[in-house]
Amino acid sequence: MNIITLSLKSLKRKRTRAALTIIGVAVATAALFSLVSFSVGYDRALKKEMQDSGLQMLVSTEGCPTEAASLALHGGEITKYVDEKRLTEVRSIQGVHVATGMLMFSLTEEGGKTSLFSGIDDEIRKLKPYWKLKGSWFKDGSSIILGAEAAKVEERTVGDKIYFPGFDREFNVAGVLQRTGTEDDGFFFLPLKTAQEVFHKQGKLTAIGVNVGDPGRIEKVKEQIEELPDVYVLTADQMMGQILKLVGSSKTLMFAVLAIALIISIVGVLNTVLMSVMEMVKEFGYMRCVGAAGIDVFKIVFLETITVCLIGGIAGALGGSVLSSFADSFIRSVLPYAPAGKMIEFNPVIFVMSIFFAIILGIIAGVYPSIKASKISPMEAIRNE
Amino acid sequence: MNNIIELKQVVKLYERGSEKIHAVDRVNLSIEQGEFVAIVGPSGSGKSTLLNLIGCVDIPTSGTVKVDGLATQALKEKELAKIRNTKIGFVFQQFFLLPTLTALENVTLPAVFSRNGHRTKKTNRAKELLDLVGLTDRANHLPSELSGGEMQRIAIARALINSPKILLADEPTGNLDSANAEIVYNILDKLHKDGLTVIAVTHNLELANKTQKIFKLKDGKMMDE
Ligand SMILES: Nc1ncnc2c1ncn2[C@@H]1O[C@H](COP(=O)(O)OP(=O)(O)OP(=O)(O)O)[C@@H](O)[C@H]1O
Ligand SMILES: [Mg+2]
Repeated sequence: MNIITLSLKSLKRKRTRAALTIIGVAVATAALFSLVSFSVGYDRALKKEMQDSGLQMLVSTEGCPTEAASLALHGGEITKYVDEKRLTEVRSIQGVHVATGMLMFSLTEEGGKTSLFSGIDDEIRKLKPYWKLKGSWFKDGSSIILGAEAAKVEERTVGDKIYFPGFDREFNVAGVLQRTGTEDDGFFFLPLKTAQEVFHKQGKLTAIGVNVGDPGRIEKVKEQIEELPDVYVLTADQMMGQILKLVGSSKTLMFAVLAIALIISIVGVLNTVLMSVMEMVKEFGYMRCVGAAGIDVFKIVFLETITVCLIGGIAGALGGSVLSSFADSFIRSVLPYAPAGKMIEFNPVIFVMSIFFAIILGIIAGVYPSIKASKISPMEAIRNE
Repeated sequence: MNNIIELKQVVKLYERGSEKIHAVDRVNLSIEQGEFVAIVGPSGSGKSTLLNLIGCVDIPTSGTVKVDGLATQALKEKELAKIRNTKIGFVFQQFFLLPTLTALENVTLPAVFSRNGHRTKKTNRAKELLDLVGLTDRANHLPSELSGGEMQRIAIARALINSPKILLADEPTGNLDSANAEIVYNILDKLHKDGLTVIAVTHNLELANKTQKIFKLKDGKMMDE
């Protein structure tokens, strides 16, 4: 028997209360683990998404840059268009590897179902080298390529026909994209010319995607493109910066909520330990009578608190690891922009850090009750007996 | 003169509202190393209070208590704890056994706080002491599963775990029948013969008469021997 076993014994006696305290700490730790994992994972997923798409610059017309950024990655509609002439002009600029025109729009059918369309040309395949196609590329103006999710929802495969009552046209499914894990999965892709025609936007583009190969050339090419009339150039870095700024405020809010949760949990642990010290005044008095020093009693209470928080921390970090894989879709729904890749991945550093944090929580919550316990005098044992 | 315990003009005052109780009133007392003495007196005469002062559980309102040459009121709480732990074995009137610990663990408890000595050595010593008080078969019982007399004997075993110089026993036979009281008395006598200073508070005149000296307390005051 030693101080540690004494400490564990006193814990064992208060099983229910200890279990509840452990749950409290576990919840706080799980929240911490998930949020930090998410925050780190988000930035990483976003960076990866930017790298995967060979898109280094997006040429659009003057407008809200974040709108353009979100559009470039996820599609959607903006009301201002770039003249198609710019595409040829951009292509002729020295250093431009790939320049591809895009026209994006959405169609809401009568039932309220919204379909996303993107008019694209062949060049886009160079910006999306990870696209794997089942079937073939567009054969003619009435060809359509479906994203994996779109194909699933519409229950169409290569060779089928698909009819859109919204603009009364039928298309032949030339190809279906394999799942990419990006927003492309939900798109219907049309040849650029066809898209311009069905949406009455002849000679117009939503944006031009540009790749210059060596990232060192981006600035120089950007300057040249900006000399063209009526264009606005956004680099991938800027897009990312904009998105991060946009998401930053959501993150701040989440961390504020987390901070409150942690404070509540510290106060909760402190309260529980303090109550238990009050209940054990007599017993600590007995220990003091047979020669326990104040520091011995301090250690017993302190170790007990740390043990509870350690167990809670481990449980919480484990629980958080399991839960955060489900949290992905929830977080997506509350954020203004979410990258398509997996945002939350198990990170051992964050795991250990979370447990460490739970221990710190225990230290903060444990100090005061432990000091109070250490001040119990041997006379407490004798009082009122 | 080798006084292991020396009390001079010791007063312990309890205040209950405006009421002042002199639980111990100007007591002078000297006990030599190796003596076996009894403190007797009616209930409420201050016997336990006096023992608490000697045992460093309490400090006097005024006067001096010297234990093994050290004046207790001059010591820090930490030093008092050390004296309680190593120099003094205390059998409390209400035992003060920890309800969550088994008999064996209760006996070992003071050794946990003493910092020296090996763990298995401590446990072995605790087992020896349980044997000494005849409770080997109760080693794994909780206090709630023991009789008053058994708890008392556990308390005696616990008092001896750190091999103290002084044994203070508050009514060590109070809960025992005459046969068991005899056993306890024999234990105390043996410890005394082994060189321990034994101070016992008792109502049991038979036990008191077997000691070397009897101190009589009345209303907190020491009567002439
Ligand atoms: N903590 C306390 N606060 C106030 N008065 C106390 C306190 N402890 C003891 N007393 C009083 O001091 C007096 C002496 O008490 P003490 O316990 O020393 O008596 P005792 O001789 O041991 O009695 P008994 O034989 O019944 O054990 C009593 O009048 C008691 O009421
Ligand atoms: Mg008494």
